Amino acid sequence: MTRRSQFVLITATIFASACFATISRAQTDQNGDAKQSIAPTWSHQIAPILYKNCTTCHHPGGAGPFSLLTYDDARRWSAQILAVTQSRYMPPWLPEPGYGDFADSRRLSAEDLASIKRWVSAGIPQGIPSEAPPAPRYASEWQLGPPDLILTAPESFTVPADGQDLFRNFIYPVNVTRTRYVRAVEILPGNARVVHHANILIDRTAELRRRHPNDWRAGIPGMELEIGSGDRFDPDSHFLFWKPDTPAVVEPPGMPWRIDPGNDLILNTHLKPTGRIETVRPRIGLYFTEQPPTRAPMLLQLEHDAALNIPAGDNHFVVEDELRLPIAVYALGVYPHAHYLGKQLEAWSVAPDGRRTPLILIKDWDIDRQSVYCYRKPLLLPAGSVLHMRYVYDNSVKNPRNPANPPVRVQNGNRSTDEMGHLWLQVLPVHATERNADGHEIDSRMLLERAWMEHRLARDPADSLAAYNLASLDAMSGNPAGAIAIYQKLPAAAEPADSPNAARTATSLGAAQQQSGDWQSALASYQHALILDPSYADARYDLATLELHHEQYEAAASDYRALLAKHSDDAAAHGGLAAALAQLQQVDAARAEFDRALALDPAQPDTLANYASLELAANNPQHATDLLTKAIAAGAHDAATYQQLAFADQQTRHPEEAEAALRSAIAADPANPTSHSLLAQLLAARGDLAAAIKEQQAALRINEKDADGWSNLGVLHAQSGQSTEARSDFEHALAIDPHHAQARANLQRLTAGASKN
Amino acid sequence: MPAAASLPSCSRREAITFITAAFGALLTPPWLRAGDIPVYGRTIDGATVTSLSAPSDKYTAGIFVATDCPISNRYLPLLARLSKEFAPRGVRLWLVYPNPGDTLAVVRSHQKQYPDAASLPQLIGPDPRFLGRAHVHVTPEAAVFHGDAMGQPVLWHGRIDDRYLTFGAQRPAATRHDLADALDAALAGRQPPPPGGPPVGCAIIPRA
Repeated sequence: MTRRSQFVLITATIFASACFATISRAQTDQNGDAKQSIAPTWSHQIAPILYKNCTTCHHPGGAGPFSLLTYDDARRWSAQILAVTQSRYMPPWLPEPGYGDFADSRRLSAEDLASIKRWVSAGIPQGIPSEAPPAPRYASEWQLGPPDLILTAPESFTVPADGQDLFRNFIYPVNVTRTRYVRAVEILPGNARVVHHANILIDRTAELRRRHPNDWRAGIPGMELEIGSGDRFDPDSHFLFWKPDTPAVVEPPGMPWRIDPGNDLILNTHLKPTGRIETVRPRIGLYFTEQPPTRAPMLLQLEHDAALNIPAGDNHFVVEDELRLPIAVYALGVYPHAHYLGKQLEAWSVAPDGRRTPLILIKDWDIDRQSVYCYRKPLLLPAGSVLHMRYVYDNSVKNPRNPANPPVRVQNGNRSTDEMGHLWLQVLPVHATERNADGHEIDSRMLLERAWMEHRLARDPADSLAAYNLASLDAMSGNPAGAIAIYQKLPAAAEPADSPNAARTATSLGAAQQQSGDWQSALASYQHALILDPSYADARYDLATLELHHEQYEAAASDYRALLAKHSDDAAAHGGLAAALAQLQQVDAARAEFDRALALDPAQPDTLANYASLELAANNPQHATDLLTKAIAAGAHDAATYQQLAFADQQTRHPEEAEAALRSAIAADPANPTSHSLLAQLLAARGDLAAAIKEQQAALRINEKDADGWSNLGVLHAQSGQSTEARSDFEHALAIDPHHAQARANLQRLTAGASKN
Repeated sequence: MPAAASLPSCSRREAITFITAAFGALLTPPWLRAGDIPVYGRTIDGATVTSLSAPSDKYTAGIFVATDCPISNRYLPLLARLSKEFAPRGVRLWLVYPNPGDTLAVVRSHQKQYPDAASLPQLIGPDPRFLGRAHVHVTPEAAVFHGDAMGQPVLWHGRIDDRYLTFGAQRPAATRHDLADALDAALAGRQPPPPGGPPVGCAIIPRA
């Protein structure tokens, strides 16, 4: 059974949009010649500029407030075109040139700016219409074609006609029955002029929905979110950032992102009132691939939120952070983020040899035009490089975006009136695995995660999230004692007892205690977590599973049922309940639960194997064989599953398959004595006593204290006429267990036989 | 809205006079003074507008807007509130649609989408002389006149508030309410203070 102990990564509002790839959109060639002496015309010079840089948003039905597809459109808006291009308000592009070479730069060239200026000065001449390039066409629905899965917001949200900008989080339960890999995502906001930009977050544990059981369907207000990242170290590593001019986010080859049964997607939207009452009901289209990721990037964050305490009137408040990279990485993309007081945002990297690599510089930060920026070519940052961020804030009246007037002291926080200073860097380790301090080969991202969290904790010993993540890293690195020590300090140090994090910490403590073998303490920790938060599904699941493993079947069944009462589609919980019912000899009820679990998720190795055990016991070996074959196909490559398959094969009279299964069991775990013993029995039944003796001896080399094994070896020796060895084996068994009845009987039979001879 | 149409009157400064479209040309009064505008434009119903104020109105404010201008659309709820606030104090606010593309049909369609627009009287296709006298260049921008603007130089013109400072520099909420301050000053008998900055919006399209 899998456990769901939590590993929390910082998963703030961000994410999606792969670096390296963008959808190819309708574009036209710039076929105009920019002869300085002749006034530019729309047909020759201006239409190509607009088609390349503007009409992805400014087309009928697009996110731009007006179309720029025709000459009449351009003429109508020529004054604005001139003003906003010369000021570089449009196209939206914040990075300064020379500080990072970004793909899909939208910065207009000096030549384009000059052409627009001369065109307006010349009286906005059209030129010869037939010589204009064809206008690009834009799909009104999905740009990438019909998605594999369309998610629709459960309810629409009404945006008032007037007032300040709104931030709304739409929650989408994802109805998949197995892990899927997403190669591309599209968002149809439903009302392009209202949805200013959006981020997709993957809520691995449906945490936000559980926090709002009664009102989640209408979406939850809030500018930023922090949610857990699930039960294994596979940190969400993609920028899933959407803005109107990039409606489809296509991941590079080998870098799809994962969605599991039970996950939610959260669409964190920035909504702008338009002057009339509007409704929005965004849809998300997912495009799947069957190919799991072959490259594992990671998002690193620089920040110093604790230092964000900006006095009213201060127009030059600086916040800095730095992070040393323990390993070499490629930087793929960067996402700088601040709220309304941010003024200048800058980041760079300094290599051990002192070489400085600029990562980004934004001189006039504007949250309304924020974006993810992908490097045209990955930037190699050697091991030992130090990442730096330096953000400057303006909390004076001179900052027009200041939410407060007169200014007030501003600290860090998730509301739009709070401030934030984050720099996310998407990196790809140069080597997917590295050796840790103990010499073990581990996921390179764990070294990055540890460096990141240790840096946070060194800066702020009260940083409970960093401590929590470090504890989780310890647990995953086989150091549950280290994890327990950290977890036990956490709740009192930072978390109020009623916070969701307190229950999560108690659950993770339980998981580490379970890992260390202290299952009674683990049981108590899970129960404590459920006192803190009786609805905490992960604690309930872990408790039930622990009870199941420790033969508390009634309690396990009760806890699984409590979980399923609120989460009826939890496949693993159905599987666990089935296993408990099987142990309670409620065979029919167990079968029904197994079937329900597999209907929800047909590829659960544990459930398939447990179901097979039931069928083996019920003398249905053929069904057991089918189930075990599926379990192996689903990833159950452990010795126990192969041993069960061997049993089933033996019962269906397929000894060759049984032998093959046992040899797979030995290959999967050569140190498992049972596999050798079973193979010895199989070989003996076939009459190959020499080979059987060899396997039984192999089993006993692994487990010398196995009295049964010695007795069995004695039988094999006796059957092959090696009485002396047989006697020694039986005596060995009796030395281990003087009451071993079979060994004693065998020894007596051997002695009697010898005296008879 | 002002009262429905009646025959033209020579006491034009005191009366609101609407003339139906069918008779407008015939009934244009011949005794206009220099600088007067015979017909300001049309209402959304197509009626000609020959006066912008009622006898009780002390001031008239034309708010120049455009159906396709996102900034001017975003101001409509505020303009509806200002109209409601100042009407009892003797100020009549008009939504003026100066652009040639904003025909009767376009404005009618727009009003269905933006119901706040319906809470103000609307002037469509204004006489270019009125536009010139208002000294406005973008939407939204306001021009305030004594009485019904007939024969009067503009008293004040400029932005509605300071929410938009330039394209790209937008406050979360206005901190200075230029139009409301100007009207308050005028109603108090003071010279309206000049606006604190230029209007930001969409250029008004000159009529061919």
